[in-house]
Amino acid sequence: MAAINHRGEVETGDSGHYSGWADLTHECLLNILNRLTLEDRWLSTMLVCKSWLHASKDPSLHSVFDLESSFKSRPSESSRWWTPEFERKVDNMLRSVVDWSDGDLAEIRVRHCSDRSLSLVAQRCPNLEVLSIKSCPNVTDESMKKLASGCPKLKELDISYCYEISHESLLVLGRKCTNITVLKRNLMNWLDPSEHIGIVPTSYLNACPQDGDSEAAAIGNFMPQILHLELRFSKLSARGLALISQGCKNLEYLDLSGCMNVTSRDIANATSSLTSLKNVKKPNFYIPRSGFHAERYGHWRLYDDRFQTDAFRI
Amino acid sequence: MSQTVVLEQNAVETQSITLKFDGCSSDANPSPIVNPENQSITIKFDDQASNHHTIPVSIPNVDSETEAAVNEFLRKHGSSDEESVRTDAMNDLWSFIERQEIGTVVVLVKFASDVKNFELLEIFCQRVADVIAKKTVEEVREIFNIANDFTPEEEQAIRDEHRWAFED
Repeated sequence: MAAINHRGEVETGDSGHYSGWADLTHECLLNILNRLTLEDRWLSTMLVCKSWLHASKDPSLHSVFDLESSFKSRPSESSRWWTPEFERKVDNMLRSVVDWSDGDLAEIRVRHCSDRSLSLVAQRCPNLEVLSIKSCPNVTDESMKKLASGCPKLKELDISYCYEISHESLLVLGRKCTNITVLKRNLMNWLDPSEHIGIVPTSYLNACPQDGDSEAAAIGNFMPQILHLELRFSKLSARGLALISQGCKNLEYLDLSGCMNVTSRDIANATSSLTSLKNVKKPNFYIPRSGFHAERYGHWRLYDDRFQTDAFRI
Repeated sequence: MSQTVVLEQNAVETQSITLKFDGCSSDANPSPIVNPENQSITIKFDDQASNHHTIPVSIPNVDSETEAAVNEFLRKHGSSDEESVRTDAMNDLWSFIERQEIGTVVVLVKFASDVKNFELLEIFCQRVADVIAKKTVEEVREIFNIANDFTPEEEQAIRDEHRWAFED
């Protein structure tokens, strides 16, 4: 093929074929880059040449930062993700994107970031609408409270598996971000942590929040506009559930899988007044991780429905 | 529907060009707009009587087969408001483009941008993106004939500053 430099100049004779990349406008390059995933833009295009590096930093490419897709596409979770080195790299990526987005960042989906990047998000992303920060052991109430002030347009929030965020953040978020309609605050399966052993540090598994009712109270009291709520494996009791049903009148979807401290009766009582409720995921006592477990514990489903007992309350 | 024809001239001092438009029922005399910067003459005319006619365009730096495929798309796509006809036209052009050299596609991106045809731009830009996806930086440079203008030190500094988190 003819040797053509990045300015599109033909350097040797060719077969009449013309490949003038440089003739492409900046807009065309952006049009093309916009169609690539974050991973492709990071690994395939940023370092091609100086003009491509420049284009890669254009704000129009950075209204969405979706690293979650890359996490999900990996065949399995890695213990490496829970190391400080990995967290630093994630923070650096997020900080770069915040910088390049020039205030336009509207959607962040990431795991394993920390206060280090989130405090920058709070300062520089006033248009943020979607924030999904699952599995972030080093995101604390401190940066969440800043975020609540800095990102009033938040609509969708996923803080699942973030054990340093407490009900205090939920309180402040409720007060300051009145557009939040989707809240996911799932905990890891503490009943059967076998899927996490060897990947998630045991100390973290054990640091699972205990005060489900405080969190439920914060949600019930300060997030009346909530439509979609996930609280898998929360330790909330009937009392907390009642506060949610009293406060969140528009609830359409409620996930209480793994919530061992509420019975079917508690749920029926609490949800009877929620007229918009379309879908409730009940604790179903035991969620089998494998066929073996299903056989062993499957019959326990009967207890939940037939006996509606409190005997298994933990 | 207004149509734009862009003519690019070489630096020749006097030249006369005769334009023939098929089936154009415009009554107005189109006045040419000269742009000295890119040496182009733009003639816009409103072809309101005929929604269903497209003038074949001439595309610089591509072979006749490619030019014909693009014109076939323009004709078919412009000939009907029906979704299925337009989708067929896009699929046909897409299949054709997938078989072309990437250099041709890059030329077509430029063409589509120049004539401001959104559908063509969609197809050609998407094709380029598909070719780039999952490649290494070196492969992309090779395919698109782009020279690396970073010094080794510059390149390493950027790699260090912008590490992909999942890199080993």
